[in-house]
Amino acid sequence: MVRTTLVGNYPRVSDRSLPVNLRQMLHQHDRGEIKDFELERAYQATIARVVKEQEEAGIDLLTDGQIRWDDLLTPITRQLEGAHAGGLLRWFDNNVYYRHPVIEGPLRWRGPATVADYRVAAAATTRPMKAVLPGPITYASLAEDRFYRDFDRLALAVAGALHEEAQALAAAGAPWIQIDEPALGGRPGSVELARTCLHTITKGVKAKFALATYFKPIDAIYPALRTFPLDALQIDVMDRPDQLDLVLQNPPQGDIVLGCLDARNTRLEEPDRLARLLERAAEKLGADRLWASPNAGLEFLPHATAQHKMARLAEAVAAINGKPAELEAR
Amino acid sequence: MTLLPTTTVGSFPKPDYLVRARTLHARNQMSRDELAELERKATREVIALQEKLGLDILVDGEMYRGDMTAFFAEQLEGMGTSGLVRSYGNRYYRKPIVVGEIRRPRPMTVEWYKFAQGLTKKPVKGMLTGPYTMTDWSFNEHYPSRKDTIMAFAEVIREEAEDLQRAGAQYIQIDEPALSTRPDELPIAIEAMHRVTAGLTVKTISHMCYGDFPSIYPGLLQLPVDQLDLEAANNDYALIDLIKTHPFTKEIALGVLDSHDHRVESKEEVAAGIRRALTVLKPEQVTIDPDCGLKTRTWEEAEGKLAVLVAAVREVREELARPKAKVS
Repeated sequence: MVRTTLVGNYPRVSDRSLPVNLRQMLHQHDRGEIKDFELERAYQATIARVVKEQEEAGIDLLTDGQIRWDDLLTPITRQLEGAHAGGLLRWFDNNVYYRHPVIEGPLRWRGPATVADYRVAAAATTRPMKAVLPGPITYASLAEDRFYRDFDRLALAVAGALHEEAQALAAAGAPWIQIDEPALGGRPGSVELARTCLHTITKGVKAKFALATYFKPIDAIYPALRTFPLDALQIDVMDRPDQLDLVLQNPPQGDIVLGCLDARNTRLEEPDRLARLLERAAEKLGADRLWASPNAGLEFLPHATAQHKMARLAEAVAAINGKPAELEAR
Repeated sequence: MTLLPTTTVGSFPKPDYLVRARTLHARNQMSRDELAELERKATREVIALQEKLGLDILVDGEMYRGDMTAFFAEQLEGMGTSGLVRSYGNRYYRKPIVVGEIRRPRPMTVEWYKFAQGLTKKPVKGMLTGPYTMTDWSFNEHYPSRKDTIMAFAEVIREEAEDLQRAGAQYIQIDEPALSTRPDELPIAIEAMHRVTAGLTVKTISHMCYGDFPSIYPGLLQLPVDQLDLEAANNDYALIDLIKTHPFTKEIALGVLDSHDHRVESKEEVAAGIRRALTVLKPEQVTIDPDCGLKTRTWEEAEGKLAVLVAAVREVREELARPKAKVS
């Protein structure tokens, strides 16, 4: 059976009126009108909501929506001794910003950044949950390194910290951990370093590991990437249809997650086109190792569109599996 | 014109009364006419401030604009607005969506240009958002490719630029802050800008910021505008090293104030920055301005920063006017 998952983030606020308006609560908290615990409750209710929405749409492997994350790097930066969050920069080719990490000393993990939200999300569903972490190559390539002054050493230090984070997640019961490496496609020279970093992160951690690529073309790194010791590899075949051929001709070792839905445009995908693409992939690769997902986090979209797209994905996959989406729940 | 003319990138901080009025209008608690009256009041204040500071080339301050793409999207046919999309932290915007053929039913900026120009004898720049940025910062549900979308925007921006020229604008700035986000698309952005500016007799300018300029330099110099407006202050004049790799063949508006920092720079550091830039640029090709629009600063910060900019430029101008000491 083909399964479905999301890449990570998911819209926190909506144009619809929701029981919890996180945007407004954050403003109120800034103005001192609500207490910390009230904001905390709003975060947790929002995480539970996005988990429910994924479940209702029929997604198999869920995420916590990265509801507390202002960007992919900062939650980790805040938990690293030797690093702080610097100024805002453009997040790849998006009109979205991130705080770039500034490295000023040896990196040391101070304690889990993502475990609390993993627990909140896992408690809201019986379905399996995937935790998401930034990859060391992406982290290092976007950091301002005033300490190591050496890309490899910085990436390995980040990988060391992420190993501790991964261990904490696995101890909390996370069955899947996804490492996001959007920058890797643009740094073909770092692909073997990425493999070493991956070994560092995963060593002895009892969880399945996925690696997600997006934004950048991966043709140059694919020959190496397909031999990475991974349980799943995510590849964008929506923005970059050629990458589907790459995968079909020479599949990777583990499962394949096809990013087949455009997470950065509101235009809805044709169900027929989606179904044809997935059928073709399932035929070649076998349905059981195939996953379908958007090609990036859904937070680039307004909430209503994200929900539509997610439903469309689940419906297309349910049709291939020969079952209506709502019977998919395991 | 004097050497090193001074200008600004476009936006000024909105006075508190205007911020409040915009909120009320959004909640249907204030009429469009009442809001417009306050927008005109604020525009008068912005023009008066620039005259007081002694800037050479003025802007209308964009008191009537929210976001640089939404302002145009709201006036174009074929465009709709999406729901809320996050840009960072707790900040959201409504990203425009191209839903049909893009058409311009009527001029979008000409009335405001005329109003602002009517308040001063100094030139006021016409301000547009470029076709590449309009495309990059919108969703597209209509055109088959990004290039088709970009060229469709180029058509309507061209029409607007012609109307601004006809209305008497001497400078038209077509901002392309998104330009460096996909270096492989630079040729399309250049082709689109050609469609916008070909045959215009005014001085054309394009501002870009927060970009990865090394990835598009020197190709960027092919952008068919007379002047490129680039940031320097917020990255310690990294631009200078870039220009050393290939001569800068256009006019440049050099950003010498960090627009996103509360701190008011000192006259000495701004003058030093200009002097450094003049080691790789000819004074005749340089205009001086802040890195970016000033809308995120307070009114006091904007005034303080611009006063420093003008004072620093005066100091450097005097140095340039002095006969050069002989180097032994």
